[in-house]
Amino acid sequence: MLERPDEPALLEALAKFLLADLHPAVKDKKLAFRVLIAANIAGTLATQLRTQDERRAAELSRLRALLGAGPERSLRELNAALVEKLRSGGLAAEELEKISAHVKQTLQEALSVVNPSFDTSVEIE
Amino acid sequence: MAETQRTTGELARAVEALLSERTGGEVKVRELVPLFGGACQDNYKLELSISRGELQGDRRMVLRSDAVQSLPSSLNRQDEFHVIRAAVRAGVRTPDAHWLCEGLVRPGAGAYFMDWVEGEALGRRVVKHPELAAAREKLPEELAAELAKVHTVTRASAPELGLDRAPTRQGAAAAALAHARALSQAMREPHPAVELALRWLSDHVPAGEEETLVHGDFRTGNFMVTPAGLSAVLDWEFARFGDPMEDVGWLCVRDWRFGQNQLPAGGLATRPRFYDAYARASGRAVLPAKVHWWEVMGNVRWAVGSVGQGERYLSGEESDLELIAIARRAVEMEYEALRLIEKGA
Repeated sequence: MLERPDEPALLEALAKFLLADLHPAVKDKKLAFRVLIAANIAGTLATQLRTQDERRAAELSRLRALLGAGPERSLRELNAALVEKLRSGGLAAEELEKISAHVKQTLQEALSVVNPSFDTSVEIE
Repeated sequence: MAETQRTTGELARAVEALLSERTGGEVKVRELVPLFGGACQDNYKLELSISRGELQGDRRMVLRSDAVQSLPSSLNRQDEFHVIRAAVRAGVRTPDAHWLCEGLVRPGAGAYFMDWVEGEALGRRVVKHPELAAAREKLPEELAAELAKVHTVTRASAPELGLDRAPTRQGAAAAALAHARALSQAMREPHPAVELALRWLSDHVPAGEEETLVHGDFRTGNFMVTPAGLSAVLDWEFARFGDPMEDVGWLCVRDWRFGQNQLPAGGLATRPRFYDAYARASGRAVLPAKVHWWEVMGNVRWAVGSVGQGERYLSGEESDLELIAIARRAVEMEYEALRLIEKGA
C-alpha cells in the first residue's frame, strides 16, 4: 500500500528539501550545519536502501565461503565469528590475506554508500 | 543537574567575587555568554574589567568548567590547567590559564579562566580558505616548532603533572594498543576491520620509545590561524605522557586533511616538509615507520571513537545529531587503517 513513493524516493525528497529549501533559510551556523548533516543522512540512506539487498548478499556469500558456514547463520553472527577468528590468532598468512581482501571489499561497498567521494585507491598522497 | 547550576547572572556575581579576592582588587563582569563547548566542558565567554594585578585592564576571557558528562580518558579542568601552564612555560603558543578554582559553575566542578585568542579553527577553512593562503605557506614550520616545544616537557621538568591514569610502564605504544583493544571489545557490533588492524598493530609495536608530554589531539581543527599565521594551539584535554611520534602520526591521520590528501600532514604539508621541519625544531629524527604505526593506531582510535560517539546518542545520554552521523563515518577510518597497512611505511 505504501509502495509508491518508495522509501528511497521519500528519503531523497527529504534530503532535497533539507538542502535546497531549509538550509539557505537557517541563519544559525550550528543549526545550519546540522541541517546539512540531516540532508546527508537522508541522502545516503536512500542509496543504502537501494543497494542493501545486493550488498548484503555479496557480503554473506563471501563470509560463508571464508568461514565454511551454512545458510542458517545471520550476517551479524558471521561477522562476530570472523572477529573471534581474528582474535584467536594463529592464522596462516594466506588465510589472513583472504580475510583482509574480503574486509576491504566490504568496506569499499559501504563507503560507496556513506561517502561515494572517498578515494579508495592505495596511493592517495 | 539544572537546579544546581547557577544562572548566568548568578555566575557573573560569583566570578566577580572570586576574581576580586584572587586579584586583591575589583573585578567587574561586563558580559558573560555561554559558548558551545565540547562534550567535556562547559564554556563561557567573558568581558572582564580587572582593577589590579598583572592582568589589570579590560580583558576578554573564556571560563572553562567541567561539564556534567565527561569522555573517558579526557582530562578534567584541573589537570588541563596544569598542562597548559607547563606548555606556556615551555614557550608553546597557547592561551594562558589563570585562577584555577572549584565549584564556580556547579558544585565540585573544576574551572579556570583562559585568555581569549582570535583566529579560525575550522579545519576545512584552515586548509582551503583563500584569506589564509599566506598563513598556510608558513604553517607547517610554525606547527612543527610548537609541537617540538610541547615535546620538551618531561615528567622531570613538570613533576606537578599527574597524568598517570593509563599505565605507561609498558610503554606508550603497548598502552595505546591495550586501550584500543579494550574499547574494540566493548563495541556492540562486530568490526572485523578493527580486529585486522589491531592484529597488525600488535605484530608491529615499534621498539624504542621516548617519553615526553604529548598533546594528544594535535591536528588541524585544534589550532587557530589568522592571515598572519598560527595564533594558538588549543584543546589540551587529551594530553598525556607518551612518545612524541604519536603526535606526528595523529596530525597525519587522513580525516584531518579535510580533503587535501596530497598534503598528508594536516592537509597543510607533504610528509618530508613536515618531518624535516619537526626534526630541525626538535633535534629529534622522525622515523617514518614509527609515525606510520601511530597513524594506523590513530585511525583505529578514531574509528572506535566515532562508533562511541554514536553510542552516546543511542544510549539516550545526548541528543546531538552530529554524534550519530559521526558513527556512520567509522568505515572511512577503518578503510584508511587497512589502506595504510597495505601501503606500508
